[in-house]
Parts: sequence; C-alpha cells; structure tokens
Amino acid sequence: MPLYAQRLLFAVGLVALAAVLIEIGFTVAATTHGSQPARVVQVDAGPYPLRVSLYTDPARAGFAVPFAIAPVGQPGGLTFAVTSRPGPGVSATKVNDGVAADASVPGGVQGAAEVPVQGTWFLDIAVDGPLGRATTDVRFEATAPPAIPEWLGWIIGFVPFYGLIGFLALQRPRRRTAMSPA
Amino acid sequence: MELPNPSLRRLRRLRLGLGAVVLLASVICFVGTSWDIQWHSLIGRDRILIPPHLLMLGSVAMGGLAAMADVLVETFWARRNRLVAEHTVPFAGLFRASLGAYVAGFAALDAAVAFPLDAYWHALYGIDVTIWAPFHVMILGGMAMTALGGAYLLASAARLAAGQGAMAAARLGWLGAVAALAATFNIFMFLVLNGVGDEGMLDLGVLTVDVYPLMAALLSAAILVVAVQVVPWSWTATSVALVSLVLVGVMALFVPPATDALVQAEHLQFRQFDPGVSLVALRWPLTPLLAAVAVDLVRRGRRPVGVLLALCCLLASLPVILARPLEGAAFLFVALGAAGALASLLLALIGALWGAWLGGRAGLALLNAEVAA
Repeated sequence: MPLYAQRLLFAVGLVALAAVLIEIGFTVAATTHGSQPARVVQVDAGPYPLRVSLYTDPARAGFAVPFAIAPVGQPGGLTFAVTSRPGPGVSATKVNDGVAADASVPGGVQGAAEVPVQGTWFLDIAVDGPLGRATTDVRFEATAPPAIPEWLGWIIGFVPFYGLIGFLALQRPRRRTAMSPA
Repeated sequence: MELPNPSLRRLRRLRLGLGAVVLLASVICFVGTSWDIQWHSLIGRDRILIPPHLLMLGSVAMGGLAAMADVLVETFWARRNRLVAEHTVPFAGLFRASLGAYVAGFAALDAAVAFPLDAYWHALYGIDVTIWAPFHVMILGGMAMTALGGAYLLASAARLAAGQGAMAAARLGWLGAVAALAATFNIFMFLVLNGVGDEGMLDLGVLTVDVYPLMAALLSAAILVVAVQVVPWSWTATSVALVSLVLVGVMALFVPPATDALVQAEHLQFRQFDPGVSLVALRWPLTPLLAAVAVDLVRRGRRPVGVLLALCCLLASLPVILARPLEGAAFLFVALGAAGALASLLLALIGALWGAWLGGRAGLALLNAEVAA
C-alpha cells in the first residue's frame, strides 16, 4: 500500500478513535444530573403528591434521561420503582430504571430513564408508603437526530468490507510457492 | 531455520500472547452476539447497555487494546532492535508491527464506531431491526475482521517459532490461528444465518432466488481457503469447521441459562415463549463441515486446487440447519421452483469462486508480510 494511503488510513483511524471517545463522553454525561431540571411536573400517585424533574426535555432517544422524584409534604418512608414505558406505536419494550436516594432531597430518589427509541414515552412511577401502594405516570417525548437516507446507511455500514476487499485486492504474489495452498 | 535468538523468541511470545487475547475477545464476542440475538428475540432491546451488549463492547475493547499494545510495543522495540524491525511490517512511516495487529486494531475501531451508529438506527426505527441492517453489518464485519487479525497474529507467531525450531510454540500458534479463523467464520455466519428462510428470498420479478447459498459458499470458501493457505496441517479446514462447532456448543451451553438468570435478576418478562435453547445454535448450518472435509481430501491429492476447493465449498451452500434439517432444502428446492433453485445454486458457484479468491488473497497477505519482513 502506498505511503500516502497508509497515512490517510491512519488519519481516518485517529478521527474514528476521537469520535468513539467523544461518544463515550456524551453517553456518560447523559446520565448525570444537571444543576437545573429542564422540566418539572407535579403529579399525584394516589395519596402521595410528587415532584418529578426531568433533566432533558425532550429526551434524546438512545441516551438516558436523568430524572429526580421528590415527595411533596412527606418527609420520607416512601419507596419508588420506576419504569420507562413506550407509548402507542413506539417499537420498544418496557425498561426497568434503577433509582437511588437523592442526597439533596429528603426522601427523594434519582435515576436515569432508558429511552432507546424516539416517540412518546411514559415514566411509570410506583410508590409504596404508609398509605399503601399507588402509581402514576409522566409523559415525555424522545427525539432522534434527522434520519439519514437508508442508502447512505448501507454505504457506511459496508465500510469494513471495502477495507477488507481493497486490502486483499492489493495483494500480489511475491513468490511461486505462495500461489498454491500449503 | 534461523538460529534461536532471544529477541525473536520474545517477539513470538508477544505475538502469541496478544494474539491469544484477541482470540479470547473474538470468542467472547461470538458468545455475546449470540446472547444478544436471544435477548432481542425473547425479551427485546430494552436498553442500550444490556449485558450482552456489554459483553460485545468489552470484547471489542479487549481486542482493540491488545492490537494497539502490539503495535506500540513492536514499534518502540523495532526502533532499538534491527532484528525485530526486520520481522515487522511498516505502516504510515510511523509504526512497525505484525500485520495482524493492524488488521485487528482497525477492525475493532470500526466495530466501536458502529455501536453508537447502531443505537442511532434503533432510535429511528425501533428495537426490532433485522440483522441485515447497515450498522449491524458494520459491527459484525468489524468484529469478524478483528478475529481475522488475531489469526494473522497467531500464525505470524507460529511461523516465527517454526523458523526457530520451537515446534511446541509453533503448534500452539497454529492451533490458535485455527481457533481464530473459526471465530471469524462464526461471527460472519451471523450475517449469513439471516438468509435461511423468508429473509433470504430475493424477488427478481421473473424468478425468486435465495441468497443463502451465495453467502454460505462465499464465507465458507474464503475462510477454508485462507486456513489451508496459512496453516500447514493436513486437516486444517476440517479443524476450523470442528472448532467452529465447538464454539457453537460452548455458546449453546452459556446463552439459555444466562438469559434466564438475567430475566430473574432484573425482573424482566419474556415477550415470547422461551424455548430454553440457544436460537442461534438451532439455526446453525452443518454443511460447512462437509465442505471442510472435502477441501482437505482434495488437498491430499496435491493437485493445483483453486477451483476444486471452490467446488468443494459449494457443499456449504446447502441450507441444512440443526433444528429443522429439511427446512432450508424445502425453501431452496420446493418453494423456489426449478428455475429459482438453479439460479440460487449458480449464485452459490459465483460465491464459492469469489470466496476462494478472497481466501487466497487473505493467505497471500500474511505470506507477503512475512516475506517482506
């Protein structure tokens, strides 16, 4: 392979590596709670009034949505189970979202909702407390970047095969014994 | 035979060790992808970092880092040691390393780039995207080629060892290369398996053809021919096919209980009936083993064999799968009719010839690199 082609390939590799590292950074950053919620919703789960904070709104499909749930007028004693539920027409399944205690809010919890597909989603919240078990949900939208044409997707998807076939096509026998299988 | 040299001994150990890491990564990747298919089919792609995806991503990182380690160590080493430099392949005027490390490194990087692109594709089109989707192809292609890079690394170590008369190390290297080629075959096979049944049917208007025979013959010929060209054993092709089936067995033992355990641990629900067996194993084709035996038998005749090997690999185009051995044959010979079946088999012949050419060139790549070194 000519030296300039090797250097071009190396440059492409560096760009790809940088893209992977940036993507990892974005994915990690998506799970962290910002200082200000993007949207705050007051809901009642049966006898329990709750304040639900979403830290991205609309959510970005493919990334987690950080959220926090705080009981209103209830010092504690509540336990929460949270599920992301796809709305009608969204090709996805329910996802159980883990929650952990929110150190800044007494009795509150925080977590990150998984939203793998664009469309309407619901954050289903099940609360257990001294007044029994109750549920509620919070609707939110998840958006994705604009769709690239399918043919362009296929052109990109076949990149490893162009690389392999190009690399093999460049091979030329250098000695007679290499022509036939061992 | 070269005189034993401490630097070359250390070089072959480095390649053997890092090649083994790439091989392990490829096997983990194969098992992880099979688990992922089971998870998608029975549970759904409920979130991005599900355990099978973590296994796949971990294997990509493992293979990529091992390749990068080989490139960096050999580059620095070759700058100080002329003998080591003579056994390496230069790249971009900056690096010197084994050919396999470059192949594995770039391939792993390709797979790593494809993962977020696949998440984007799922975000657009939902969780039930077929295996024949652009970025699935990109991920699987990258991971399979990482395994091919591992095979090159191990074969290079074996050739170094054989050149120094270290036959035990050479055998270990060849065995590793056979296993890595089996892993390459198995990972590429995920793309071929989709062709068994309706998805493999291509309506051309005047007739319908099945693309499975084309893909199976292409893959089998490429891998079996590169194997017999790189590994100097009598039964190399058969060994690759048998190791491939052993890997399928390991996967079949792991996937169902792992899926059940995680469903319980994460309080998930099956969205369809759990058969309790690996779905991939049930669809695994058996005829590549026949093709491999035929390839080895033909090679024993010591004739010029390029086209003959391709013809042997036509056997792999018959869609005989483990679960329902006659299902594929029914599609090919009954559903398509005579014209469709004949056209499909002609495509298979083209695939076998192209695959044999690709396999020959892939073997030549290693031989050229070694000669140049």
